[in-house]
Amino acid sequence: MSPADPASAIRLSLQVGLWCAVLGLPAALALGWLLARRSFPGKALLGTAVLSPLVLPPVVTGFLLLELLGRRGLIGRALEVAGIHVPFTFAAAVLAAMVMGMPLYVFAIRTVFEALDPRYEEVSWTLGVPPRRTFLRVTLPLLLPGIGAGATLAFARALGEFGATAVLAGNVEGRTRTIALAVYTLLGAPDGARATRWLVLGSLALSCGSLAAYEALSRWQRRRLELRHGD
Amino acid sequence: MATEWRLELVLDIRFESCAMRLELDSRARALAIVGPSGAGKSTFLRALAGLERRARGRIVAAGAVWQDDACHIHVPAWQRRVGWVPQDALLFPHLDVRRNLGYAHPDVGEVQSMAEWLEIAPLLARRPRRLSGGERQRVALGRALLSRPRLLLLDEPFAALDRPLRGRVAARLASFCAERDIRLALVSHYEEDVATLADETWMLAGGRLVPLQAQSVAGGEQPRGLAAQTRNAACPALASRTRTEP
Amino acid sequence: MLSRRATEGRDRRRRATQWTFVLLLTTAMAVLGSAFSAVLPRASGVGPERALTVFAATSLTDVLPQVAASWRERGGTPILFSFDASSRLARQIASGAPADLFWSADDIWMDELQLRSRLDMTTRTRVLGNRLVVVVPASASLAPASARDLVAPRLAHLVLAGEDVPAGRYAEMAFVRLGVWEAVRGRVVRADNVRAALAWVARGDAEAGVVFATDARVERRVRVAFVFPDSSHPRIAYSAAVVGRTAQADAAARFLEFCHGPEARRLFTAAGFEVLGPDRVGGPCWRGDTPP
Repeated sequence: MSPADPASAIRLSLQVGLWCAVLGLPAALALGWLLARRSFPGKALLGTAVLSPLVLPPVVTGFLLLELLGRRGLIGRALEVAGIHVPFTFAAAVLAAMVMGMPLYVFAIRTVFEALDPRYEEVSWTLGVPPRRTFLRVTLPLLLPGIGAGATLAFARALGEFGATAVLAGNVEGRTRTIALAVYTLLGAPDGARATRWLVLGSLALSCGSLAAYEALSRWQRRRLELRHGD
Repeated sequence: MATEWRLELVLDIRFESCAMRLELDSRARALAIVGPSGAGKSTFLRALAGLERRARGRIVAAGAVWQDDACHIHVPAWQRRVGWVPQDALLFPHLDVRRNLGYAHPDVGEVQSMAEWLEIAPLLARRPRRLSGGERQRVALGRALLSRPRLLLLDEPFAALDRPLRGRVAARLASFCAERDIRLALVSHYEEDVATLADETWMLAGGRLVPLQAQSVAGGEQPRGLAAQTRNAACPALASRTRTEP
Repeated sequence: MLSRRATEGRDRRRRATQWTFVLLLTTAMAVLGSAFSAVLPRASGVGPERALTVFAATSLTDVLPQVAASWRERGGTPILFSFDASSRLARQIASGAPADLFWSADDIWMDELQLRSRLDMTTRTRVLGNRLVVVVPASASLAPASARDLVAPRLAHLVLAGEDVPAGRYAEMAFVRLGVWEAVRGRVVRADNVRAALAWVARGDAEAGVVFATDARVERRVRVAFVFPDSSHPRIAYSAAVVGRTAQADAAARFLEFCHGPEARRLFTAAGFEVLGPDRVGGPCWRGDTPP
């Protein structure tokens, strides 16, 4: 009997991916906007910190998260008091995937903000609409497809997350055993290679689908900001 | 309420390679700013609108202090009641003409009459992408007018319109502003527009604002001396002030 | 203040400097990289003696290098180790990894390789035995005294090695034998290998874990809560065999002999292993003792 249930793994991966795209959105929007539109001391440092999960080995990132959120960790200790235990939970899997996907998410959203002529927002201000409402009436509507593209990218990245998840969330069947972890587990079994077939197909389908969606949304975003028909 | 209208300003605007020191004191209802291209006229309008963070100094308009950096006063753009019509219209791409016009005050009747007045009524359902340059400029003008400004800032507003249309729109604009006590600051190369709309003309060149008495500025043709000056403008040497704008 | 021509000149100079810097940096990296790789000893040969490659189960991480050092002192060939879960190592060897000797923590993986004719069957031998224990963090106030105590939901996370890793399989078999598997399986977290499981308990993130007795000795931050009774699982035996058709087969066989010798036994016993053999067992699928 296969130790890893493909259906469970795919379901978990989808759930982790969706939660990452949704929960990561506020942070990605804030960071993307900050890095695109504002200058402040320490901006370069922030940019590097945001990019770091992209260049660090995923297990190292996972290890750092464990140091932070484990039972004896800096934040983990406070959470213990509140009865919250992070490692080995579904939340840990989402957190690990979110941290690993954040560089891409922020990068995509930052690009989208930079593509928007800031003068649109300025025009709105001169028409008497203050910045916060301008953001809701002009900036967000204009950038919605691009933000969707960023979210799709984060979703796709979360689907493929392995290293950090393995360290922070462990390999718990039914709770954190996502597609990548399931394949890894099955490869350890004597005849496991055959059993990975469905997982591999599912993974390929999901990845291709996500990338196609990303392309479509990016194209839509470009057309949205066009000045002239056929630019 | 036609109050005594006075626009007073002293602004220092610093660029990478040069600096401007602009001083203006005018009681005119409508101003025209002329000068060679690249002199900074658009930047000046932006500074009046409150959009130019590089501009430091003091602006007083109709008795209200809009900016005074010495006292750390800076009234933000959305509180100044200016209508800014930039050179490339900048219509919101995701809204059709009707919603662009009604952006500040979505009053159906007002939008309709403004559209007719600017001869763009048949375009109300169209998206900005499908408009010609002249149509866009008129929509931008209408949008600014419908926001009930007290000072209208126009940056080459009629450049894409043909002559007869330009004449009509300029004339209508003049009477509209007179009726509603809207002041005007116009940047234009076209002497007919300047003549129709402006009471006073100022020249911006070499980093300075200079009042011109007569309407004797032909579009594009500047006296030789001034043109030569503005190319390699002898900008006033600034004391070792570091750039405050990142 | 600067004329346009002067600004252009300055920009051009700046760009030239940047390009020069990039070129210098790339050249330096290329030079360093090739120099470094020339200095690295190549895996299969340092001078006239070529090193043995030994793939061994994770639990042997600390003791085998000691044995190898002793072997070296007596003029043996240098040895390179790769420690990992037996399951993973077996798959690597099956795919053609260049191992000379394979130590497995369990018979299944030996049999697997034997089926694929990857091993020299005449050299297959049992060498060591081990015990299965439950560990808790050293600072834990309460510890389960037997498997029954693990049923209590107080123990939120129980770490086991992976389903196909020997330690993980033994643990599961033991729980099934003792009748508590259904009660604990919902709280089981699988780790990559037995040392990873040990690390999690040591960190305090898991309340308890199942590892080998020898692993528990190595980690100061855990203590043994109880030892599984021998009747609850098959005999834990480490077997070793020379991987067939390698150029180092002789040297590998000699090292294996050395591991049965008195010097090696002393080291193994000191580390907490039981010493078995040196009875030679050949033939496929020999299972040895089964629990009564």
